[in-house]
Amino acid sequence: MATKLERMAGSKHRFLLNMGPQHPSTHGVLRVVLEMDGEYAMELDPVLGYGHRMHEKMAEVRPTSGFYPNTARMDYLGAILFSHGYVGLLERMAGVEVPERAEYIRVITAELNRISSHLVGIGAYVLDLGAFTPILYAFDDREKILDILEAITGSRLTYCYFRAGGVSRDIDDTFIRRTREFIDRMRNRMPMYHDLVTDNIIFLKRTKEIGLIDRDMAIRYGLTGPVLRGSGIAYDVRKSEPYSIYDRFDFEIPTGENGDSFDRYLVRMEEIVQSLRIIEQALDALPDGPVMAKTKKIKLPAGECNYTVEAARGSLSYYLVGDGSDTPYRLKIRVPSYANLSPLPELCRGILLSDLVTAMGSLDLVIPEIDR
Amino acid sequence: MKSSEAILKLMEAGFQAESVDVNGVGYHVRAHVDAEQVRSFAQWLLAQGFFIDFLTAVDASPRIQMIYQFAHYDHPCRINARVPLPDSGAIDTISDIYQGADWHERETRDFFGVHFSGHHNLVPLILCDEDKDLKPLLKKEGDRKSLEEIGWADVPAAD
Amino acid sequence: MDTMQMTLYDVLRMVIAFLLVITIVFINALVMGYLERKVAAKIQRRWGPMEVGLQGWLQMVLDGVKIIAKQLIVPRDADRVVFRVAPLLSFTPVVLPFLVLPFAKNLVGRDINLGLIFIIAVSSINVLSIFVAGWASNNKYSLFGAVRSVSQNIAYEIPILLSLLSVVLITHTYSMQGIVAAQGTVWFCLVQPVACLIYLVSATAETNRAPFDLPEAESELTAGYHTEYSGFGFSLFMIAEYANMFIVCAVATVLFFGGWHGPFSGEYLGVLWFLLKVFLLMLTMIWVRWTYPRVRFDQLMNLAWKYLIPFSLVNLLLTALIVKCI
Repeated sequence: MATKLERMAGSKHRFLLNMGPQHPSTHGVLRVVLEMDGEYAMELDPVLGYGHRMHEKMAEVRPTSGFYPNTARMDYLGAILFSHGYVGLLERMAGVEVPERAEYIRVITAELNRISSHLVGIGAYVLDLGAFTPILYAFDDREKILDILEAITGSRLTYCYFRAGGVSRDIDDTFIRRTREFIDRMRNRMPMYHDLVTDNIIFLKRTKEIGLIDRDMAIRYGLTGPVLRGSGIAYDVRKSEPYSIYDRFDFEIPTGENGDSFDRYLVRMEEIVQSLRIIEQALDALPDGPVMAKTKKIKLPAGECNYTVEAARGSLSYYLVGDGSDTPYRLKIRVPSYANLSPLPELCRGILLSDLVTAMGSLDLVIPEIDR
Repeated sequence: MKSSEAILKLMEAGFQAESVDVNGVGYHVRAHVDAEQVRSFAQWLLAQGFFIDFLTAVDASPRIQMIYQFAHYDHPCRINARVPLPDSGAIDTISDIYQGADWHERETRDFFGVHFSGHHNLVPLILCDEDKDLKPLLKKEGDRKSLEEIGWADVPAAD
Repeated sequence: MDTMQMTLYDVLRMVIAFLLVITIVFINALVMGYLERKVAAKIQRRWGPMEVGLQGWLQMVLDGVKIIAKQLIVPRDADRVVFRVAPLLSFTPVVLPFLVLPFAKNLVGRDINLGLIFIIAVSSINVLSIFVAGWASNNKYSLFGAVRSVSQNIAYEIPILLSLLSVVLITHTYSMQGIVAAQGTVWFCLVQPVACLIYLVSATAETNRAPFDLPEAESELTAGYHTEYSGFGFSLFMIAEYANMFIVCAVATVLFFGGWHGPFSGEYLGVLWFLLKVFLLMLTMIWVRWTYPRVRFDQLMNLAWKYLIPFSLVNLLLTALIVKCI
């Protein structure tokens, strides 16, 4: 795509611009090398790996239980969702039956974590567009979730709560009461977010028709999560391949219409509402019983196994090859942001720097998850 | 497309495929694909509307095994294909068919040293330039397991 | 007596006025910095500065001390002299307009008969300082900020001038005191609502405040033209920004909101009314900043060239016709 200036002067006046690794809008240590034509980004080349820790190698050198904390350190905003995939994988491989109550607790905490992740995503996105206030409102609500989860998991961000066979601690009445309070609070707050952000004319003008993703592009890049659902494709692992006990709950998959940045934002807002529904149903149906199965030390049989869950940013696959010991022979982690970031060069070719920030923010990236 | 239907279609297109227990291994269809077939396999999947889930490798003796996994947006049908890497250490790229495979292939090159012939930009992605030949996920000589030991003996290794 | 000959009284008056103005500029930055942080905190449901002094009112003073103690880092490839001159260049033009602002009936540095033109002329230099800062930093982001700033300021000077002119057509004077005196009974914001609105929008853009803060859009350009500035260089830009806010709000007060007019304004007490009005306007600017996202650059330019300028032209024409007919 050539701009008017370019048709007149050729490409000689293009120059390189380093966006990141320490740029306010790259949300961490992502670096994008831009070839700029004035304010238009003509070519983009994302450079990854600044936060690389080689989690996959770490998994190969320690028993499966030693890898629980690592799962939280990939996607630090959706730590519980990442643990969910890992323990699910171990249980599927080792054939561990999980008690009913533990499954319900898992769903409740996972959905709470999803809400907190989406709140950060939305808040940071609007911050990218230059509005300072919504992120603090979002953090205010997120704070309530962190308090609730801190009381039972012991940490506020990098939770290590799920174990193969259940969860490490039972929840109490305080947890249930506070969670119900949070559901009411959050439902009351949603109209405020829509007033403040969704109906804001500047926000609409900035996000509509920016960063269009269609089905073809989604397939070629393997996009998942809200990024995909904004384009009107109702793909959610919780529905298509129900894991844990997600098939017991009544919830919808919100989808967008145009596949632009605004739709992706709106999908995240709607998903908060749907997650609240799931939590409410799970609290209503919460059975009594143990929260941890009586398990021996987990031995991984020889063979392969895949476990896919819906993390906050999309489909997350753990793929494990076992060799009969308690240490994985190979663990591949397919993280959603990795695929969601990869269309960036195609998505943002020839658009304004401001729109690049809009489009990149709408992908809701967590860079440590991409770098692993 | 249901998984049974997918298998039929895969067979029609000239690929080996079998149904597997989804609760056991976590995917619906296991495809047997040769290294030469990778590109036509990917083209077939793209035509059927599958999206790329991931692409990686597992180091085992006698040769590295490539893992391709695809899934579908509209139907619960997850296809997994294990492709033995030829002795040349190179396999055809699918990054021009599935652009999303671009980064997965570069990452696999970083971690295993697998060469993807035809890849337009096979430079280090995750590792830095100094470490580009580190290949951290290759097993040490004594640690490398044979295909039988990691439960893959049932499939004959293609040559 | 020869009017060109300065008496001792005149010299003394100028010195005192100048000292007062410098003091006002710095105190204004302190007060506004504190207000901005407190108001932003209230809007965002947090406390803001609380530690030093009652409600943290000493925070800005201590920040000032800290910032003076900081090293002024000059990037290696920057144009050293120009880089250091730029903050001073931004500071000077914002001091001068204070000399002609009518704070009260008898409280004005010097009421020259071209006061309004003087303010517009002097404060236009500000854009030069931003451009110089962006250019001298030798940083692409700074340059982006500088380029944006130039086109933005040039675009928004026009609607500002046009909207001010429509007031001048009514008052037949450029003297600030004269304009205030003309609003004894009715404020011009009621006579010229369109011009008032256009002026307020353009003034926000002219001072580079959100939602028009594109020259320093931190999510796009890290910090725009002052990315490379540290220590007092940076704080001079901030002081200039707040002083600039004060000036545009003071001009708005003088031209549209009755200046120092108010009950019991008298000879000197009008200054309270004046400051009240100015600070209310500045609070509105703060309020807007912490509520709205930033517009995109082409949208900003469209707003100026496609809406504000045509509307202000039509408004000016209508005013001229009506004034002529009456």
